[in-house]
Amino acid sequence: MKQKLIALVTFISGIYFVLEFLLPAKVTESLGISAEVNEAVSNGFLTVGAMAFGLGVISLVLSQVSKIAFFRKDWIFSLVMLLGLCVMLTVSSIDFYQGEKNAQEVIKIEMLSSFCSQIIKDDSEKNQKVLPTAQRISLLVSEIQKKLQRFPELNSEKLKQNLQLLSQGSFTEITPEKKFQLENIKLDLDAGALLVREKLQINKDNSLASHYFNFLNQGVFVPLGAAMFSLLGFYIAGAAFKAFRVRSFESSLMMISAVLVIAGQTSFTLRLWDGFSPIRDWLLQVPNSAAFRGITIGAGLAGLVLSIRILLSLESKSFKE
Amino acid sequence: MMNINSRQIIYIIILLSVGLPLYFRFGVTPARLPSAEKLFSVVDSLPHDKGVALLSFDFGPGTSAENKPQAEVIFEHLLRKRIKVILFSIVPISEPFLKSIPKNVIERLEQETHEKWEEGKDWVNIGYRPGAALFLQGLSKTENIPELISKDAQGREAASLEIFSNVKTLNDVIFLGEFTGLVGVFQNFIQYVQRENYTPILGHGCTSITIPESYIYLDSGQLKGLLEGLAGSAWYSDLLLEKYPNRAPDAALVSNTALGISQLVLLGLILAGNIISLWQRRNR
Repeated sequence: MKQKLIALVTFISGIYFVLEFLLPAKVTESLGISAEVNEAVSNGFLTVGAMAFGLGVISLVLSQVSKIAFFRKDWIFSLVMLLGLCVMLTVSSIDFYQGEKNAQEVIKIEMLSSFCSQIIKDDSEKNQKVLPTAQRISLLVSEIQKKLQRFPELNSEKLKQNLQLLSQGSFTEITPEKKFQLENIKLDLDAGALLVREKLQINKDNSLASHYFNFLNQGVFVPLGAAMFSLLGFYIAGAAFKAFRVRSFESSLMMISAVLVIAGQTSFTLRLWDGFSPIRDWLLQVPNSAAFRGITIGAGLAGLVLSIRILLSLESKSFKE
Repeated sequence: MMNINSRQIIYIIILLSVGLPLYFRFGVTPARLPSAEKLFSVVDSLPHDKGVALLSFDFGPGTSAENKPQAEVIFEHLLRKRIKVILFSIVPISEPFLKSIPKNVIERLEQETHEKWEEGKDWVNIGYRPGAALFLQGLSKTENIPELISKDAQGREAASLEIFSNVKTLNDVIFLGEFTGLVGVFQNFIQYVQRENYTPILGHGCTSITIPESYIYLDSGQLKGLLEGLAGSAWYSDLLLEKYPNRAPDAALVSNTALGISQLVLLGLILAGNIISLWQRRNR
């Protein structure tokens, strides 16, 4: 029963995306699969993918912890790996949280700016479904004043003046002068939001978590990753000397092509003879393209067959037994 | 005396052939590559007020030696032409480069030209986008790109940014640049980034290993230009230097020279290996 359920879910999930891609939009919409529904389904699958990532981390941690706990061979490397994982997770989580917090602060200021426009709009449309204008303006002024205390960057003489003028007197509708003051407050808030964003970004960039994150990311991860791949250059050079032997017609053909292609893209060889360049272009455009097109089509067909087998759960031996 | 074997000698030779040009900053004019020239003329003829350019940095530290200079030269060229640029990635390992490349390029440009490029107005980083093919399909189908993107990498609402003010659908994307050394990533862009009766101009920066694979798309016209590894970015950089004489030379030229020398050394090693093998066979 469990196997059949897994196979059914696999088939439905796969066939959904196949049909969604192949069928015209009108047909999918008539079946009830609108753009919003599709986005929700796609986000669902991305969430499942993220959970699989978490599962991978858990599995990794469990396997490495058992190695450390029982002091098995090379346990020290497992400890280093877990320490690196924990440090990076911690530092990047703090950095991410700080970024989100900063973004939320700026969004609140932008919301106050939008609120100014909304007050004017609702008043002109005589919208009865909202709070009275006077009450809304009072709320707006008190919120802006809270923000002014929190962020001195928002403080400007013009803004203070407009807030003062706006707070004066009682009114039931927006007069042209009040409208002008609200519009000016909106502009000041928009400009202030940019200043606040810059200040928060500078604070974040100067924070300890950000420093460590940048150090680990750009100072450790990037150079180490590049160094790992750079080792390939040395291995290839060693292999080139020991193993690249011309023993047959095909291998000599391959060797000559390799030499001509390299000669066609190196400036030193082109100084000797500039004919290498058109030969290289011909090799890439004609025999290479022909061969790679065949390989790409073949790989595509093989991929299609494999996908159908996966869709029909014909490849899933692990849960069949 | 230390017992040095042939492998160690080879490693030392490679180290010197790559390291010495880099250390002495020895650079020669790169080889002319028609595919890079094609991409240069395509980018150079883009209108600056008709839409935005999308650049996808889909490379990690491993292939950054080739892909990073490519991304830098294209990004620089677009900024010089005052074309608005949106940066993103569909692989998570590119995140450091989405921050470092704009920072370095804009610093250099502002120092040279004394002009300003504002984030959110002239360029924006929308960060890593999960879903790869799903995201690209969404990008092609959506009628509201800011809504699909939702927020940029700094958490700002995309719809509130000036750069997105006239960007609604894929039809507003005039250029798509993709830089990767990963197998299978680039094909997603060829397959999915298109709408009915419209495909944005596509340029690609690949590593030397994937040149043969990318060439078929250049030949068929699906790609309008190609940067073939480090050599492609070096030639593109040279073309930029020709067009903008005040431009400071970048690292691509020196790196390409080091690469060229090491490739010749590699050819020499192959030749030496075959000669030694032939001589040994004759002596038996």
